[in-house]
Amino acid sequence: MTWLGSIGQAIAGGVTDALDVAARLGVDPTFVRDKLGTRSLPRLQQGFGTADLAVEAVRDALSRWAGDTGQLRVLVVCTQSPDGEGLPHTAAIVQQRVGLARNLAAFDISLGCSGYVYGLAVVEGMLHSTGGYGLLVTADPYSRMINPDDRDTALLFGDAATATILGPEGTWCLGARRFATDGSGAAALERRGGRFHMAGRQVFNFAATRVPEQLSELLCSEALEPRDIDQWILHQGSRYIVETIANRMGLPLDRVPVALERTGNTVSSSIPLILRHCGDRPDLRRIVLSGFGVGLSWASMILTREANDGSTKGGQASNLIGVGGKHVPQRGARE
Amino acid sequence: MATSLTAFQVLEIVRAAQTRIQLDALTPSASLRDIGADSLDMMTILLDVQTAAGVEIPDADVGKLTTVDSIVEYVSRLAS
Repeated sequence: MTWLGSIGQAIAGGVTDALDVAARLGVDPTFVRDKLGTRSLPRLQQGFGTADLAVEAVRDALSRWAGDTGQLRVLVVCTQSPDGEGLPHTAAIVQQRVGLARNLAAFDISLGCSGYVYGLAVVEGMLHSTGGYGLLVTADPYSRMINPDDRDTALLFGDAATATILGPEGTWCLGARRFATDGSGAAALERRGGRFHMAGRQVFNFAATRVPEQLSELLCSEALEPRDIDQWILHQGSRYIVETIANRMGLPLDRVPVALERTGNTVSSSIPLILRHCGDRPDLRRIVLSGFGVGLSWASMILTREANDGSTKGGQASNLIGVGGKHVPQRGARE
Repeated sequence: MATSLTAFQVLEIVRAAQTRIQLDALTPSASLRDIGADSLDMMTILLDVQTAAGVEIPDADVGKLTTVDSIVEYVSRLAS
């Protein structure tokens, strides 16, 4: 059983005002506010790179963790925008700069907005081999490949990174999950000539149909109903896509957070950024995560908190009783 | 299998789509963009039309589908 512990974050220091960009590109500001949901878009400043964001996020996660860094055995970095020419892999750079031990498996995985859910499962799988604790880092500063004049993307993406500690102790238990891929839609989200291109309608159609299907299948497999889920943390593609998925599934919007205003769409970091903020809420017992994007790729997972009455369901989490007392208080929690 | 849709069915799709369209101005011949639909609203409407009619609407044709009438005619052509 693998638990999710502290989550660190790093938000890029520069800021672009989405409304300024909207004015320049002739986009209605109410569209930006009500449909995209963005306002401030963090931007990597000159001289900073993906590894810088990743290192900051790892340091933040470690500062909130009561464990010993010597117990870290796995470091996975999810990125599709590594520094330089992508060689060496970002995980090796982060290992050295944070000063982590050499007996650490460190590698990158290449996924976009589904990357956090995939990454959780990858780290969990590695921990079966290595024991100890693992770190999952998400870092994809898309601003470096966004065309500033592209109305489809220039108002949407922000630069951020997160780092999540996983191991035999923590707050949330990884439960049932589903993964899917449809490479026939790959051209809808791709980098060409160094620029990011998004075919908005294809991506919308994909997310509005495939994600609800997968979520329904996931819940059905665990004999759960939507009302059994306290929080649905969906990838923050845009306010509109989050609300569309929620509406199509008949979910109450107060259980489906939208949090793009100050960060924009941060690719694989959008889910952990929300989880970091709501993960400590004692009223939440069961959370669903769902990421979707580049590939096309989509993945969903149930997280469960220990239940005192044995009623918690959700894949592996049904066996949570008896694991009590393994929660590690987060040190220096700050928001 | 592709099936035609009536104007009544398409009007129902538009009404149910939770868009910013002024529903009191919605008629089969009204320009959906003129009565409040933005690009994302149009994506939702056309996705629901695709699902209801069992057809695929390529991007190249989206610009032609500006009214309920034009959608009905377009789908009818595909279905036949």
